[in-house]
Amino acid sequence: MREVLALAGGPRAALAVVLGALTVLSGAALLATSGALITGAAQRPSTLLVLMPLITGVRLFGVARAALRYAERLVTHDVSLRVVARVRGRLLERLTPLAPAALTGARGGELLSRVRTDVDELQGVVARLLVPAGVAVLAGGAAVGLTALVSPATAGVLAVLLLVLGVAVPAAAARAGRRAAVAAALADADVAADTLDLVRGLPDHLSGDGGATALRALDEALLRQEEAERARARLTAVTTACREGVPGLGLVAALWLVGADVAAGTTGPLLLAACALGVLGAFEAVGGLGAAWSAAGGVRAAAERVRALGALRPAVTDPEAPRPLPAGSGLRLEGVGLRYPGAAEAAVAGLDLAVPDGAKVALTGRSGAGKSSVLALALRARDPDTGRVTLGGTDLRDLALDGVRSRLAWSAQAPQVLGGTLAGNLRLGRHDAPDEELTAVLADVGLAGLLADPGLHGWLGEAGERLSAGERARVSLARALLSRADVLLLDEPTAHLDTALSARVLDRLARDPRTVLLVTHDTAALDARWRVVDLDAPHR
Amino acid sequence: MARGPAARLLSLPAPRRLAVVCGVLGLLTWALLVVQWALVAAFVTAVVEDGRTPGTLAGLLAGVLAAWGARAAVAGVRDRAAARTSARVRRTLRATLLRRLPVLGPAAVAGERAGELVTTVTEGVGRLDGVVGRLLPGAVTAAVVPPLVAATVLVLDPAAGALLLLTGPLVLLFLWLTGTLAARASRAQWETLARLGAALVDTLRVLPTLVAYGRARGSARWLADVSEAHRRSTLRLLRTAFLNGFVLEFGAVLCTALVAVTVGVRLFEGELTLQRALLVLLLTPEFFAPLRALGADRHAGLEGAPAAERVFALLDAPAPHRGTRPAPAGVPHVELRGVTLRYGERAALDGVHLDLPPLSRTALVGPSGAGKSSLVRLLLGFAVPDEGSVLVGGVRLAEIDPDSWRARVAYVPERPWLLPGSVADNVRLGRPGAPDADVEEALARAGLLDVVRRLPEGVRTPLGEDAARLSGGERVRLALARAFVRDAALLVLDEPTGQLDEATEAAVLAALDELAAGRTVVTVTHRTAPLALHDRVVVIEDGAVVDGGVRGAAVPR
Repeated sequence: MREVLALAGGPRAALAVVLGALTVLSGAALLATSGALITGAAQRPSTLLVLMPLITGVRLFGVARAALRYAERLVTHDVSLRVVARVRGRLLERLTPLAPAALTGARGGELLSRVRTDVDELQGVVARLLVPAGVAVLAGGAAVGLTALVSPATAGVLAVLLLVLGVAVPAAAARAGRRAAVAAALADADVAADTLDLVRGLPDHLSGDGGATALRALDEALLRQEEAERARARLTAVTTACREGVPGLGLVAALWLVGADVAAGTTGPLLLAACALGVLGAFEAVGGLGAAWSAAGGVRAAAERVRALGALRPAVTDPEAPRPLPAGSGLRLEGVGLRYPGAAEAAVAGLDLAVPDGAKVALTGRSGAGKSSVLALALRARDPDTGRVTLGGTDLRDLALDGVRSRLAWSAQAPQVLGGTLAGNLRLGRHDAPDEELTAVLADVGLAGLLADPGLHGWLGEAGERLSAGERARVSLARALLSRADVLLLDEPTAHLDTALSARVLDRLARDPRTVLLVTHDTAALDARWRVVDLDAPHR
Repeated sequence: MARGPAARLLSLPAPRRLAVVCGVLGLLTWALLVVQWALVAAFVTAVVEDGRTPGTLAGLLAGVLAAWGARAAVAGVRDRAAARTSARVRRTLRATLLRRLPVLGPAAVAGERAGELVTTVTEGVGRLDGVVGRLLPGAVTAAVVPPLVAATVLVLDPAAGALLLLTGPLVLLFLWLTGTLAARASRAQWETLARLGAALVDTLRVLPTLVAYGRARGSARWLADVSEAHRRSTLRLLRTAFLNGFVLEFGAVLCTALVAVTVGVRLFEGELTLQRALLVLLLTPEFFAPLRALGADRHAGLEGAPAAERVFALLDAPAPHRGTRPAPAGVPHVELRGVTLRYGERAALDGVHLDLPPLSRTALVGPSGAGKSSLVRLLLGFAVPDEGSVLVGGVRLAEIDPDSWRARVAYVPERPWLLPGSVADNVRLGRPGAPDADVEEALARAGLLDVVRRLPEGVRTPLGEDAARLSGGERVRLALARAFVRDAALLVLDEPTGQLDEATEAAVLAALDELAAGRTVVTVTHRTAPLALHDRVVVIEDGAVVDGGVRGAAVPR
């Protein structure tokens, strides 16, 4: 929770709380002064002037309430948007040292989707949690204090009822609703997963049984979802009845207690209606707490997960005293072994591989033979458990990370294209590359067709979705070709290409003066310029 | 308040019943409000003017509590009815939407639209809760309670009643005027968050590449700039949008203040009794309370309106024509005659002739984007030619019932989609209700039975989300088992070995060879190994057949 406060706290959040509390208090004051005004007028004072302060009070509180509410909403939204930016920044800051190792593969995808939900959850922290909680404490406390000036007993009742409505009822509802909430979340997830299954696998379902199996499963999931929502509806009904009913108890208590004082002559008659209506108005202080209570659990869990990211140990770290970057760019793996955390078998074991300056090496082997792992080791996305990886004769672990990566260009197996323009994506490889070079490198990889549509500066769609898988792979390859790196590390650059294109791309790579280490399963397309290393072969 | 899709949603039978229920409950609420406040006014008057002690007035207070409790219960009942109706409406809509998908076919749900469709069915329909569960009961209550309260005040004190009848419509008018602003703001705010979310996810997704190229710090700055720019523009909009709430609040409190002051002054002049004046004062906020609640509910309704639009657009999407004739028995002659298929302006296939005699084995080759996959779509009946026709046993495929035709076709895509259910469920997709023995035999013939037996629960092992525990080759072989278990006349294979290494490819091809016996086979491939299985190779380029190949001539077997 401290994490959340650190993100959202500050003078602006405090201002929102103060404005919110004043809004509630002026509402209660409006009701109280109106009550006093009516009772006062019924006493027929000698002149209307006696009632002037009350009349002014009624008008003042009325206008103040509307203005305060307006200001509070603006400030709350301002703070919310600032928090969004801060949460995002914090997240990127924490994930950067963990990438690329933590963000690739299936577990990377899982992490990304979780992070997105967590960020959405944290966005609501100000409006849904902090401001309502602050307002409840501030306005509720002030209302109890003011009531105590008139009738301490009534103030006691008010305090108890505020606690009941603001704390006990939501807590009990959250407790009772926990099972329904879990059931609803599970049912929602089932419906989403089954819908995705039907949509993504529609050709398979249609050519299978016309979708009957999938629809049957979905009907069951939908019924479970409705049942879970009905369980929640029962709870909602009870909470609503409490929210509407409890203030009535406060009003009756105030009428009884203050009424006794008025009858006894210890309290002025003006204060009976004023106090009763003021008490009624004070319950608005805890109005937002019901939602805050249900938001608290989710926000806390999300904040905890985001915080935990910071505690994850990065797969690789900068050395304390980095050695200067070597002149040569030959890569060597010497007796290298790598086992992923939690994996039963080593991904790479006792591997020796030399990729001299300017060499063209192709890694092959069955799926799971460790081809991509070799690239990860060369990029220093991970460190080997045994042996060492050297660049120009120096162990990668002795070099600054930024330095190593400035010498290497990498194209991932799942091509990474940013939503944006073609030029923007290519310039990730070299930020100052002129348009002519971008055009030339696109032609090299057979993407000259993209220059007409969408063009260098046209929108590629979210995550580059306007490009086909093969085009995305080649954009990623073109980015690597464009970079100033001495070594190109390419993971399946020809996977989505037909034979002619794949031959053309491989020829372009073979003619490149730089060192190339690529992963492929299509050895037939490689000519004599390539040295093929089969990771399955026992001798290696 | 609601127009277009939201109005259409509310005219469904269940929401209409809910409206009636809410109307009746609104009537009850009004009656209980009048009783409750009349008793409070009587109590205050008795204490202040008659000097009585609360002890002698316990009956009045008990009445207040009873009326108040009953009103709270009515509110609870209303919320429950709304939530239940909303849940039922959403389930029915989801089920109806999902049944539309197979009817609309894969063309309607392909590619980028897949994600949008899933969102419409899950989150989109979920947002309709704002319309059915909140806007509808809120609007009905706001339509019933305030007029009744105003009428009551009018009877009690015509001057105060007139004030309510004057300010009420004025507030509503202002609400309507500023309502468009609020709608714009809510849309803008939502878009801002969505865009920021997309920017963040996009950045995180490519973070490995950004880090590898040393760009992570730059993108953090970029993301901060984007967030700041969006914050400024959103706030500018909200400043006007929140005027909506301001007007409502201002109108309500100003009217309460006006009523208090005028009633107070007339009370001072002796034109009114305290009890009546108090009742008027107490009823005045109740005139505005439902309107204020509606302000918040309307916001929820506004969020639901675009969702309702998407939902109904999907429901109204015209279904492609469905044939009714049964698929011919046996292994029919399949023929493409002058087929042209367009996606928008671009012709994916342009006047293609292709003859697929019974038991022939045809390989389709050609560069990426030449139209091979379009041809597969036509054969499966997922697409209908714009010109020319696909003939099955001499009958146009468009006239044949698609379900009956697909039951005769086995389709193995490059990356088969696997159900999250068990291995057996996945095989049975080929023939629902197939006995266990047939499932095992199909697995055995696909060369997968040994692998499956090693799984913890054999054929009953759940595969989980996207079958993470199977390799690419095993996925294809599971799809082959699916094909084995069904009695297919036509076997359509789309890059069956595209993602496999050579050893796995050989095993899959051996299984394919067995599967092909007694059926017509069409295979799309860009690899050389599968060609040996076929008796002719057809080359497609730019949507046209370039080399038709002669039976048995193109590739020596």
